[in-house]
Amino acid sequence: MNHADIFLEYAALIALYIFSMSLIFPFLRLFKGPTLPDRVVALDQIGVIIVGMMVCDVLYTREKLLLDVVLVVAFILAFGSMIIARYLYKQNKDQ
Amino acid sequence: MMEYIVGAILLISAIVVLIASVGIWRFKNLYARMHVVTKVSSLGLLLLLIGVNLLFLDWFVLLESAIVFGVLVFLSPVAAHVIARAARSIGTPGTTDEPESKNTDDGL
Amino acid sequence: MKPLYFIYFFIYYAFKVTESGLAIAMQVVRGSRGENGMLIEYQSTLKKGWRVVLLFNLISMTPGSMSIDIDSESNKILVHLLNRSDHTDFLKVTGKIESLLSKAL
Repeated sequence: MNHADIFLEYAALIALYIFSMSLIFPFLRLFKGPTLPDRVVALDQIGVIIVGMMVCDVLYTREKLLLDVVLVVAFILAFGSMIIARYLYKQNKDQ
Repeated sequence: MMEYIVGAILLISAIVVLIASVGIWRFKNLYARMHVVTKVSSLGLLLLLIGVNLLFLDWFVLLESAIVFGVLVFLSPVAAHVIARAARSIGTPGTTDEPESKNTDDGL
Repeated sequence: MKPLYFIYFFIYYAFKVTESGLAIAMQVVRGSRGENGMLIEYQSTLKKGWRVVLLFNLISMTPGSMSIDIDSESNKILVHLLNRSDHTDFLKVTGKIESLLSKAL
């Protein structure tokens, strides 16, 4: 095991620490946010951070198959916020 | 040699996503926060996918990361548009101003 | 409808993502609170449906501007600008993108 592999492992670990530290601020916004669209935006950011943590895991273990999980989470993240916005719009029309 | 570049890109993208999270906590307006989620987080994901491609150098990985880029980065403006329009229609405070008509010739 | 234009468009999009992301990240680091935003209307000249959608995405990726709503009859796009001083810059860049789109497709 040479120096380059050790450097990549430590870089992935430090990046994982930074990602989990940056989870604090969207959760604060999720609890505090005055209205529902603020919370939807905070959930979007939490999903992006989770995708980043998964890519860190891919680079740490060098397993290509974990990229499929990243793909599925990206799809759920992109369409989930659209569905919540659709629900908001319809709720407004019912009143 | 490639591992050093990939590690540096990984650290830079983690710091970019951290900056985006701080921006979500600090900005006051809903539209300003949406700017941060759409652009800065897309930059972080683009850097991460470039790092994965540099490490593996494989056609299958390139195809898969192109699909992730397409889903997350081409669809994030659409999701932002849908949320902004819904927020404007239900009258969230701070988003219901009238547009200022700057397209006329008032000496730009 | 040439395939070379699509590759050029992909690279241009990635370049735009990098540029706008760096601009807004620098603004967050400098300590802005995002309070002096404004809404404007932009009159588009493109006709077909999915070209307008493409213009819509590209406006959202230009530094400091985000498209919110569209009027399907008069093709007016409602745009939110993060900084009030970006207005002339936004008009110039969007005009260039629009002429490039109408030439390429």
